[in-house]
Amino acid sequence: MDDLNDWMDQHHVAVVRTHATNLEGTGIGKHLKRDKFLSYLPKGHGMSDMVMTMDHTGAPHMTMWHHEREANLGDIYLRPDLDTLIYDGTDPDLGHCIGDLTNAAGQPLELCPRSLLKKITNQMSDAGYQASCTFELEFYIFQESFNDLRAAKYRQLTPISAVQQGGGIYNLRNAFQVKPFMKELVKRMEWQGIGWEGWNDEAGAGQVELNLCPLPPIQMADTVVRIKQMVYEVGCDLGHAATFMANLGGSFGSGMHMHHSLHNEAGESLFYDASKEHSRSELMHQWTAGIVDTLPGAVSFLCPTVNSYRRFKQFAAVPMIQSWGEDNKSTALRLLSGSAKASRIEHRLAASDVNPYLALAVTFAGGLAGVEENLPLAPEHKGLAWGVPASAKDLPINIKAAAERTKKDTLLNKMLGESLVHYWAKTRQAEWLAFHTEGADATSPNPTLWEYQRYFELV
Amino acid sequence: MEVTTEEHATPLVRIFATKFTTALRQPGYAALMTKSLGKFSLQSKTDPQAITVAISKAGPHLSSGVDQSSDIIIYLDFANPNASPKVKGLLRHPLFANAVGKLLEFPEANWADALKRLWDQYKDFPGMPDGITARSTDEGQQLSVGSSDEPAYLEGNAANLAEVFSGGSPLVQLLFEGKIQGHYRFQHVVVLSDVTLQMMLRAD
Repeated sequence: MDDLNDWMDQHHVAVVRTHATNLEGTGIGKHLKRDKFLSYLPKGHGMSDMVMTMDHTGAPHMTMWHHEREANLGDIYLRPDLDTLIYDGTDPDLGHCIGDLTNAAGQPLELCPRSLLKKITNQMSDAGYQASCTFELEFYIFQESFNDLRAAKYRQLTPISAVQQGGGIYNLRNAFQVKPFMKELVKRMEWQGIGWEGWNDEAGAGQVELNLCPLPPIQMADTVVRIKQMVYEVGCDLGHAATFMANLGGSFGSGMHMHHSLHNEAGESLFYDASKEHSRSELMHQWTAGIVDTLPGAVSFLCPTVNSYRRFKQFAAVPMIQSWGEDNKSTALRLLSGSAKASRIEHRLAASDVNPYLALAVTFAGGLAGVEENLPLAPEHKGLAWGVPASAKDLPINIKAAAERTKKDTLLNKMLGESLVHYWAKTRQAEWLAFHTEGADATSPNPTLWEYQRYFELV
Repeated sequence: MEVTTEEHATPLVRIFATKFTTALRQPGYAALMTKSLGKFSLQSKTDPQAITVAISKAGPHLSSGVDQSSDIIIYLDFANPNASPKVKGLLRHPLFANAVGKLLEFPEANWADALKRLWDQYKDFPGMPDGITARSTDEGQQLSVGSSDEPAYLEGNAANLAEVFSGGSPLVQLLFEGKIQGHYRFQHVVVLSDVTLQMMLRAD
């Protein structure tokens, strides 16, 4: 505690913002006076259990039960992980601390996404696997402010950069127009010690991709939720709306490609075996087989919103079928197995509105299942995986169909827990029901006002 | 007659399929439908929702959207059944339009029968109460199903009890609207709302 007090003195931290995410990925927490934050340790502070079980609008889940819900609307706890304590940098008095959702006894909750990822990574550690991973974050930035867009019901979205009609990619003049926003963003990231590698203009007008330095899974997911919050805050401060909504109606949606590799305690790659064809280890084959096998069931976690499914278009850089390929950007999994240092899997399915803890958990659950079940790796998809004839490999491309596949996936049920999987599937059914019954036009080829109002500022 | 729907049916299609299924349990309604062969569409006046109902000898088949080959198209407010609808095709198909009007006046289910049916089908659903006691406030009748030790207790008028127990609306909706009251645990409200929602949506 003395060290903690010293650190807070040194960094002038007077207030700590606690931060956890619920299943939707919504950031939840409190701003606590320093002495109160410290007095709550190690258990953390209480919050209504409703925060764990509500949709994007804040409406509680009233048609799905989970055994962890309190019988009479009691409290759960946000237990700070002190390893995540940092100072804000922009606000001179503020510290941030990410935590896990627990019950009153301090036990992690199954419905806490961060705890779920911990459960899976602990199983990986027990098997001798350490993961290193990173995400590519794609998002759009607009000239207008959040308030402007809200007031105009999202009818007028002016991309912050649109020098090249239709978008372009890596365009330096587009990038120049984005630079004030991105400069502020990366400055704040550096103040908070977040490692980044680069950013570039992306294919959609006003779209940016940000690449992060690899980290262990929990730290990586923590970083993503911090950056999502930070992008929102920079947008508010600079008067530009920015969004991780998966599709805004143009050709190019926003994805969140995940790269990961496995290594042992000594840091040696477990995906690389120079003696094998393509230098891919047997473990890499089994791990990949598990992820491919569970891919249809994982879609629901990786594409969580009604809007996520608008990305699914042939030749729009989104995988459409259950597939993998060596250095193939049209397949769901792109394997890169050229060297011990770079051997990794790029998972290209997740939408930018994904909850990063769930994305990593479901992916690693698939990989682990592949090893435990010794699953054979399906043949590599050769050539482009877009525009191929319909087959059983087609991925579910609407939220309800995807949830049904999740519910029926025996491996994911086993690895993630049946009660969690079924609860999740019900939340997706509720999302589908709300979309269809709250005035949205299900036949519209473009995102509806319902989607903008529900997701634009929140995912 | 059997009610069928298109594959991947929308919620509105499923909701009406449940309404037809419940109503067809009444012989008079089934007889009316047998004599009302044809196709009609319902189009919301307030949002893009629409369904088409094609009635054949086998029963009604429901699909989403307006089929332009429908004999009549009815424009209405799904959320406000009392608002007067507009009907396209009325002059060409007056008898069919009249029959459809009657078919859309879904007869009230018998709440006690509906409760027994719900219990038979869902008593083993995870998290269900050990029993349910319901009382109709207008009729003064009471019925218990399952254990009577610590049942979930619900009361409301017969129409609202029938609405919820036959899958016309999820329980939570009628509780929020004040149409049903009772004594119950939070878990039981949620689980019974889940069950009634699954009934309403004819869950796969």
